[in-house]
Amino acid sequence: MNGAKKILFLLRQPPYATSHALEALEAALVAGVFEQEVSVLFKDAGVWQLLSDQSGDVLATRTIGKIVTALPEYDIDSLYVCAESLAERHLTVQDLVLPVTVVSVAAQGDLINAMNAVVND
Amino acid sequence: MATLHIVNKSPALASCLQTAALEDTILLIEDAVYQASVPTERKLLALTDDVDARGLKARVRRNVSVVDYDEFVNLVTTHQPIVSWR
Repeated sequence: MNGAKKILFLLRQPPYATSHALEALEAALVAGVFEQEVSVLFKDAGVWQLLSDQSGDVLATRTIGKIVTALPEYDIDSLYVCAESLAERHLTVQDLVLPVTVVSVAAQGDLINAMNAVVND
Repeated sequence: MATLHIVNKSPALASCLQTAALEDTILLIEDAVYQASVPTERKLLALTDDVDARGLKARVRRNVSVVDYDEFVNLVTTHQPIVSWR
């Protein structure tokens, strides 16, 4: 569409200890609302945002896993996760709250190069 | 009294493990609880609420015991000194 930019949100922070993850996800959702072409790459400790069975309730905060599952509802379907970051944490795609495309570190340069802007939290 | 090591960031556990004596107690809180889901040789404790919030309940390794806030307070009163790793 006219004026739409390809924006990659590079999410590298774990949820809960700080508000980084929550604020970056909210920024991605807002970009989606404004009909930008949003992609999200979960990398490093950011892959923990994708883990199933989270419960923000016990910390009196919002559940990050639930916010992640809202991304496709805002037409944000280009969701990626770093293969190496998953493996280092003994995680597989079966452990995650929604289907995401697994990309190796080697392929992430091309992903980033295809963007107009990258937001790195 | 033995030392209580309180670790609240994942990468800090490696440094803590290098210096902790065998009889010391190591407690994982906040983002350090992610270390409860990866293999470690040593016996560790992890704070229940932080484990549950992060979706790690079913992923806690056998060498890790979970403790609640009451037990946390008990640990603080029965150890000296207390070292924070962040």
